[in-house]
Amino acid sequence: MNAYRFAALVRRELWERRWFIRTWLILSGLLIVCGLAGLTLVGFFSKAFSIRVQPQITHPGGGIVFLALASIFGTILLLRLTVYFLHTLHDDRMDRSYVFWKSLPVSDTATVASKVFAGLIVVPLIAWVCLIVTGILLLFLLSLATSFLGHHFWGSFWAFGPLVSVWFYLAVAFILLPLWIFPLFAWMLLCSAWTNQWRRRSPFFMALGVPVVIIILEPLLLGTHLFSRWLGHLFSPLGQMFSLVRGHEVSMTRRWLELTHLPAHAEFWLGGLVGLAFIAGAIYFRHRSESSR
Amino acid sequence: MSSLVEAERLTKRYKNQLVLDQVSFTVEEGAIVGLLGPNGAGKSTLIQCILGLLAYEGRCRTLGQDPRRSRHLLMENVTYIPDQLSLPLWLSVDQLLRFMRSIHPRFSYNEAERFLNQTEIKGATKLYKLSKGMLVQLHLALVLAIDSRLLILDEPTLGLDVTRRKLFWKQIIDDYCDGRRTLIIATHLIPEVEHLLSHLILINHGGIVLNQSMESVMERYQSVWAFPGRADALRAQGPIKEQEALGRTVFLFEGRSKQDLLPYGEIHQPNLSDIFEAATQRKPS
Repeated sequence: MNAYRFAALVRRELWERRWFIRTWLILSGLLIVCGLAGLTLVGFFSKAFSIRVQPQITHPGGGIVFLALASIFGTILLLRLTVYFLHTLHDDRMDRSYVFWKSLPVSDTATVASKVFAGLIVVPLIAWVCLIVTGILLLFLLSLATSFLGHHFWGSFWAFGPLVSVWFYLAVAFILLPLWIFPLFAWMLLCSAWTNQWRRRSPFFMALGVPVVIIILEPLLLGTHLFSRWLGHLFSPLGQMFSLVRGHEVSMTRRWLELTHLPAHAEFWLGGLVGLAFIAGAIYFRHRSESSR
Repeated sequence: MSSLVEAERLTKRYKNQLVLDQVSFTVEEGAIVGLLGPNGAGKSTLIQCILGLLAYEGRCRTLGQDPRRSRHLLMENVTYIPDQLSLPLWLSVDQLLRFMRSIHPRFSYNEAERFLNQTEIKGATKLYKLSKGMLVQLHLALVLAIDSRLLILDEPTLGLDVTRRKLFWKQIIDDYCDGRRTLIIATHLIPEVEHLLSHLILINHGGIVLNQSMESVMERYQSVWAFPGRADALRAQGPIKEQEALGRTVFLFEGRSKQDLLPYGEIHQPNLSDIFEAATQRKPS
């Protein structure tokens, strides 16, 4: 399978799953409308009641807008990817076009690999691009609003160097976060293919049920909590994301910066290996799956 | 001439239901094979086994490959239109053509466009907006644009009106059957295809009841229109089928010499539908 054919498979995913782009467009639209409405209200009340709006921070950097947006985009990205990996192979099998795809000279390995690539790399990059565009638009609105209110933050808002470095950190974090959770996504993909084999209705119960059973049985049978601890460790970077909105720009940037250091952890690579084993399982079950009668 | 498909004791079970029971046959290169059988006989299952879409017991080689292991490799040279519409409806015609061009090394974009230009199908149209007839035309254009060695059609004209069916088969004859390429047609609409076939495989209850070249089939079966008053004499010869037509009794015989039957009636070329009907009443050997 050469790169050209692989790219066609990834493009097929983009054509089929329109949410790959649509989710971010809708989210961007909503955020911009909310931003506009918020600024209009602030403007209206400050005029109507002669209130002078004092910003909390004296020299705000524009990066804070992107960091706050990253929490929202990042959360939705992970939720969307969870649903995607849980259903993609299962939905394929249930769709009547399954026979058509299987009648093409495309191996099951290439099909599964294209789905993994689309989910782990393409979707996060689309989310990141939409985040940056939304952030620029919101920052522009904020700049206009503060100008009308008599503040002159244009320079500090649009300081090019800090902005670009925030964008860069976010791009790296948006790629690395899904890769950090790769073993979980790969497990979901395995369940998605596995339930095909058993003709179960939804892979959800399998994906959730097996870890829950392990969490319950491990302390009872072995007296250890290794699996639940590993899960907690896997989810720990997500806590960084959720706590970001409260922080100020410097600490927020630091936390996102910490996310870009994820590959320094041995668990990142170990998780990658576990994930690859699950992917191999997903390919195996996809290969064994049959067309519906 | 080499065998493109070799099946040996091919068996398929769904839980406790035996769908294919030790089916053995070969398909030679250049043959146009009619895989005929009543609904539920196991035609589609057999096709999906030889394409590697279903697991099976027994041995099968399609274009020399194990179809279950090397499905993606053999699909470079095999094209297939299944019995149910399977094209992805969420794509547009253009997207589908572009995808095929990127993914299939033997697909000709220009050929596909040429075929589609003869239809009313427009490139920007989403597939879900096309009628069933148009979807079949589109699928046909896709498979004809692939330079394949083996084309397998599974009830391809089901649900089409007479005009579209005729067009379909005309296109197959004009653009595919060149004496070099191999075609397997699974259908129970026998009159549509009988003039095309070079070989016949009749399947019933998951087993093969007849597997011969059309030439042998026509020699093996005799249709006799009984002379007035000779029907009883013909009946005594042990026909495999009897029916009334245009006020005369018509008998179908298997494996009898024409000389033996000549005194009792006019001998005609047998009708494939009658052979099919008679043969499918037999248990598979």
